[in-house]
Amino acid sequence: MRIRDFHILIAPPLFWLLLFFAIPLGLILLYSTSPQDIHGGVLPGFTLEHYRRLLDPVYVAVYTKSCIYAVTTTAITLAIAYPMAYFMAFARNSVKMAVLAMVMLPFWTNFLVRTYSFVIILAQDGLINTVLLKTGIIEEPLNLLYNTFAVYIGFIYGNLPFMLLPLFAALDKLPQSHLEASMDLGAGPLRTFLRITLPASAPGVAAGLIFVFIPTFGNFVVPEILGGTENMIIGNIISRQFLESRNWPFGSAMSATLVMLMLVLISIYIRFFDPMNKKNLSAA
Amino acid sequence: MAATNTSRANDLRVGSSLWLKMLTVAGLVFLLLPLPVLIVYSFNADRTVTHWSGFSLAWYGAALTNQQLWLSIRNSLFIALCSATVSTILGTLAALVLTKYRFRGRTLFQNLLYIPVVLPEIIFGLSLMILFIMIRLPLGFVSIICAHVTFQLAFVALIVLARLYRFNQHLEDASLDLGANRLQTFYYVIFPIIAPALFSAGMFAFMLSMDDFVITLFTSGAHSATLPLFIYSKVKYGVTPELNAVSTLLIVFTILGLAGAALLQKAMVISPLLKRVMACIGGAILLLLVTTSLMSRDQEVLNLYNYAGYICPGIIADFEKETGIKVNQSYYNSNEELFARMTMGASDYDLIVPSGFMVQNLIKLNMLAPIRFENIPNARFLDPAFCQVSFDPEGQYHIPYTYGSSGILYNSNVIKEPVVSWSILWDPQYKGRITMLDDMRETLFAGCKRAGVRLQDWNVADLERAYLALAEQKPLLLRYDSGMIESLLLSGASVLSHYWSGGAMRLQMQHPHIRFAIPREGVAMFIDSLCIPANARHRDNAERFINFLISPEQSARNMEDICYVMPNKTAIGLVKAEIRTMMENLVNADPTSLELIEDPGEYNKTMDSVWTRLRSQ
Repeated sequence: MRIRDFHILIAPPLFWLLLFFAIPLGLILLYSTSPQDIHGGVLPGFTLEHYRRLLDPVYVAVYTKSCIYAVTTTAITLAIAYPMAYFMAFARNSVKMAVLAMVMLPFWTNFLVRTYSFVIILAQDGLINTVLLKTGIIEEPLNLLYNTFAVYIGFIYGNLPFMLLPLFAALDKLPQSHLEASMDLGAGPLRTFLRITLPASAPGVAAGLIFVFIPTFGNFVVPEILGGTENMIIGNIISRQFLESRNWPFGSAMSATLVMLMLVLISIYIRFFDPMNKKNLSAA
Repeated sequence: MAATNTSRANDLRVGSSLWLKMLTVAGLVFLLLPLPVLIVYSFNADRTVTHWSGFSLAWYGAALTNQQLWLSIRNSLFIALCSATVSTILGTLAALVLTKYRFRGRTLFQNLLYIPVVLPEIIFGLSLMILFIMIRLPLGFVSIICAHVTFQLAFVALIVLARLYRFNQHLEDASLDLGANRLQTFYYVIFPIIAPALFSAGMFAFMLSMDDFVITLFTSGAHSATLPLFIYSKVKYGVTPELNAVSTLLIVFTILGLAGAALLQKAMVISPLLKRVMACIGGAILLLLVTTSLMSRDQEVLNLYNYAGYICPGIIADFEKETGIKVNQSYYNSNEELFARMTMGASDYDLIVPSGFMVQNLIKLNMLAPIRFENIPNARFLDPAFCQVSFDPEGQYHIPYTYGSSGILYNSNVIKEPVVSWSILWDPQYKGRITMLDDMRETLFAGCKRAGVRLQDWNVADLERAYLALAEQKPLLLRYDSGMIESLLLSGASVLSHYWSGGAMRLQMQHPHIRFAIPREGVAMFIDSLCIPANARHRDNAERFINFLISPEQSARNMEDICYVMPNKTAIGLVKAEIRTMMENLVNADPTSLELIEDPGEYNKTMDSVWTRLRSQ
């Protein structure tokens, strides 16, 4: 085929991605091994001091905590999203489209604003407490805001669509005939689910896990708006190194560890479920 | 998708059980609940965001007349339009290459394209910030657009790829066989077929750009605050229902925009004429945005970089009228943000308002121009105690603007005992109704006071004692907060708050039962100064403005508006009596109890670990 002549088309996007994505990630590595300039930025030189500092129990505890948050959020989000995606995949076309539109709707308002709206919903004199007090279900307002619970609500809320959509895309491709065949051949509903539906949804689950786990790990906005006295996680600490403590190399070292983690997860994911292969995309 | 849908007659009744439906409905309610809540509470007459006290349109008035909001919307639209255009072109190229050619390194290219989708935004943002500083690209519109294009690329490529994979290759072959050259084939055959995908990809990229906060936070410059940045500074540094009004307007506009885009997409397929008309309109909008953002260049200007709401708007208006100099304001949220922008070497400010410790830093780095006092005769009204200070011993580089302190803001209906000491913030009877500032320096200072040590000694063992004091206090706290303090206090959720004097007095003016106290052990004082950067292009205008601002009449007017005290005895005498009495506890405070904190330098690291330990465990 006429291959050679349009090869040059790749140059602009490739150049762009190298300059604005690959090189900056490399710079983070460079910064993370440079001495700190207390006026902001770095000094020339090489040091592993910042990585050593990461081993301080204070920061190890932060990593552990962030990990717990990310894992729990991912698990709960999956548990909520799976039944919804299952329902959507097998619903009538009109219902399917309506639900899909409703899932997408909140996307069109700003994420910060949506997170902040939970302050109104969960506050002591907020929506839930007012309703519960007025109806006499509770006597004293519940403490729903500014604690770990509120942070989870914010995380789950923000991530639910990112779990739901890939799950739905995967389940929607599962032909009904496979289920019929399984049932006809004598498998019960549970067995059909485990042997047919679950494997068919695996690419969606994997994509959902990636889309939820990694962003939650680096999120700093939700704990800041909804969190209490002890809900600071990695994202908050990284942003403070740059915006408050003027310790760029330390912030870079923390970021570099996150990038490593992400690259490992992504390569596992791409290895097993190539998101850009022809089959996946043409069916979408 | 169509093929599978028709086969779903669903004789098995899969996925139709009641519990599935209930779970789905519950999930949807959870997803959609914030929208009506935001809209309903935008009509709240109350100043607090959580407490409903009646219907009012006042917040819409406030939102619509907020100049900062409109500027940020304009910036956001401009950035979204430019970045969506560039990313649609680049993303389409990438998709074309990926479908048409097999080449070495294809997988690598694919991953390079795909990974930005899942990279945590904060890392994306700060890695780009480091790059821009390194290559000395001024932070501003260009840097934001470059950043946005990078994360939009993957989405555009994915959408276009999906379309191209379904594209019938024979059409292209036929066109080439019939003698069309490659360009003609692209223009007449491929382009019309993938045009709808390009349109949706562009729309999606546009929305991503409009919504992005984290990456923009790290890559924006002085005059390029976007809408999400505006919203963030509202959420973080003072929430009122105005934010709900802004959000409601946004929701309405996006729904209208989406409906319009859907109609447009339908129409585009039908009428080539309409396509041309739309292209013209799009071009015109772009041109308009570019010209308005480039305008006002040749006029006499003054670029003022300040905290939002930290100067009386009337003074600026009068100054503009009197001198014909146009004052361009942009805003920052903290000294560190100001410093970061200044050190990036790409700033274009004529007048900045740093705090003392930051002035010291900037002097050390030779980043300030000496003040030419012959141009500022009104400097004679200033209190000399504030001109020659530890951070600028000769008083050459700064003009003191305001001073204040943190202290204790409390609800006098609940707190009947006199508030005289920091120890009240450790009183268990107010458990769960106390807030401390979400500010490392201030809160560690308070902890030091409680532990009976001095923060300024920069001593590690002392800091450990402060940590223990703060750890002991933590179970009593509602939260560490800087933005919701006023709302929490007015709604009764909190009764004691660690807060800044100026915000405290502004609240006290409207709600007399809220009082502000300066603890006898001492408070951290700050002096915010007017400084002129060494590279300022309009130094004369800056000095003219300073002189105007510190005249006793204008200073008095400014104090009445922002409620921060200016070190100008003559001006204080002119302030309205009720505000003056409020300011007296600060003006007449024992000078030794107002402690000026210098830049901690290396010690910052120690403070940072202690603060991390406190806040994460």
